[in-house]
Amino acid sequence: MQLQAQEQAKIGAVSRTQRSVRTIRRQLQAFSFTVPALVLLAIFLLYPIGYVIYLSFQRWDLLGTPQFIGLQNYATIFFTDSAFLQSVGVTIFFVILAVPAQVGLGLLLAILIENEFRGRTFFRTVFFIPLVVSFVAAGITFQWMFSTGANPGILPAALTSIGLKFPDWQHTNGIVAMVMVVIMNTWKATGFSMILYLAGLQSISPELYEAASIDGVRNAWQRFRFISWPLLVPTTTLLIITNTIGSFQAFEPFYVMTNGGPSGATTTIVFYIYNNFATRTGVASAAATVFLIFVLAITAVQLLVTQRRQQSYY
Amino acid sequence: MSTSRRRSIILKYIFLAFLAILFLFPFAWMVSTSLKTNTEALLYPTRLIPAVPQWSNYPDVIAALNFWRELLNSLIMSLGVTFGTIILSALAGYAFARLKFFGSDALFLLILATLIIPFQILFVPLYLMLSNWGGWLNTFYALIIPSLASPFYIFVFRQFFLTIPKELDEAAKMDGAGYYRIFWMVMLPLAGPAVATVFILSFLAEWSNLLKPLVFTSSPDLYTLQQGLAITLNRGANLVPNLGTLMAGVVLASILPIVMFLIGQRYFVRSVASTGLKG
Repeated sequence: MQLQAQEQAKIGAVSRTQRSVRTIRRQLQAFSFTVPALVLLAIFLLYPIGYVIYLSFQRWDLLGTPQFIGLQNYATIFFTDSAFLQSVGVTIFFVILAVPAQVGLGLLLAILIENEFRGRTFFRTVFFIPLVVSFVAAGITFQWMFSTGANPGILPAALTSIGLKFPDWQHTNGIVAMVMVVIMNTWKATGFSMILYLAGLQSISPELYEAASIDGVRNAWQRFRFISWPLLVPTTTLLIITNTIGSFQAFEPFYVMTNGGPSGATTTIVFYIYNNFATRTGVASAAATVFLIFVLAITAVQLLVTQRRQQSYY
Repeated sequence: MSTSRRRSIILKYIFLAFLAILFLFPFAWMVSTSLKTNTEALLYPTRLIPAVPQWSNYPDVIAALNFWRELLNSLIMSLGVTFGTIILSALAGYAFARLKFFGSDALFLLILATLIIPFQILFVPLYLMLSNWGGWLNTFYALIIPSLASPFYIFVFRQFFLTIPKELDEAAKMDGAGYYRIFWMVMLPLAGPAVATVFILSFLAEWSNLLKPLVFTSSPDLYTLQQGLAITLNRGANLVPNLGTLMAGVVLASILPIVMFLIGQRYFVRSVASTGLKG
């Protein structure tokens, strides 16, 4: 009797260790699915963040060995090399022009094609398709459509023919150069905002519109002002934030269309980093670190805003 | 239908048509210019239909660009990154959605937090790492391997796997299948929509990417099409290129994404809408 009980206990004990061995093995197996991605993320995403911060305290022109110089690179970008602060201003200017243009036009397009009508898919395709071409293709096309100087493109030529003079954005007028890039960027990127607004509009229940028409909301403007617009606030917030972060990182439109000129008027922060990374690595790293802080700050604002929005539902 | 209603519909069509012309005009100009001589391309008033279509612009740009090599480079980079990303992100996304292991939730949050770190910050240290660690600069390794693991695509796959009914993998588990078998035989075949989304977004991003090849490769043998257009044709020695030839190159570089889009339009729109989750 006793023997039997001991035997049973022994079996139980053995199977318990067996079970925990199996659990550990299962856990390891589960973890192994994430290992390839984790290893690559650690090497090519986490490590470089630390490395760029380390580099921002070094003097290094890629020859010789890095040398610790404290905050000197930061002093350079903030006090000596005026090109960096200019690039911050240029980037903010671009964000201020580009984000409202994309979001506003995207909203307009979404409202125009929200309801079912003949040709709706065609219009949606037309507004969406610039999104799939590259910034290189779009930039080159707009650069030559708008080009000034000896080989005027179609827009300056048209303005000249009606007696207006188009500012020479390729050589002197930096503000117009920025506007040209913004026009290209809006053409290319608006489809994104339109699609998200369409999704937002489709999630609004038709009953709300019916109820409002009983309450005396009559015309399309009132329907938009009092129903659609308030309910689209989450979409608008999301679009402003994603487009701000995206525009903040802009490099390719400028590299292709203006090469940062005239006289640095379209050299964004990323362009500044690009211009310096091979010759003044420490300075470029300091700029990249400051840029990282900007991105983190924008994200923090985003988290605050979206959290407050969630609370306001209750 | 009342007359005022009809009038407002007509007004809407006119407005939409106007906007559509604005959006289509750059494409029309691009194609039309690609078939013109340089003189005609700079002529004003612009003729939309070229007097004599210069088809020779296309062979000319193919010769000027080392086109086939650059097309191949673009495809190797885009497809290499895309397929690698799909496999790695699907594996990780499956584990985070289904196989809870010790610390998996914390690990996933950490990955989500890295979502906001853009390549625009990382390229300086990556450039040094790739050059120091074994001469990866000017190789396809540099163009592909650092881009393989992407927090956002892991997130896309995790969200998708969460929507698959648990009964399916539970049933497979009852039949004695291990996690790997379940992943390859049950989960991945069901993940078609997520695979399509990641394929579209990743392929488009890589095909259009200029900054990465610009920083990591300098040898013209490794130029992608975007690099060829932006560097060889649009600047450098050839500062005012032959406009017709240049636009022929732009058309050639745009055909593939546009055709892909027209075929898979529904998926494209859905994929782009899904990136809204990114914020």
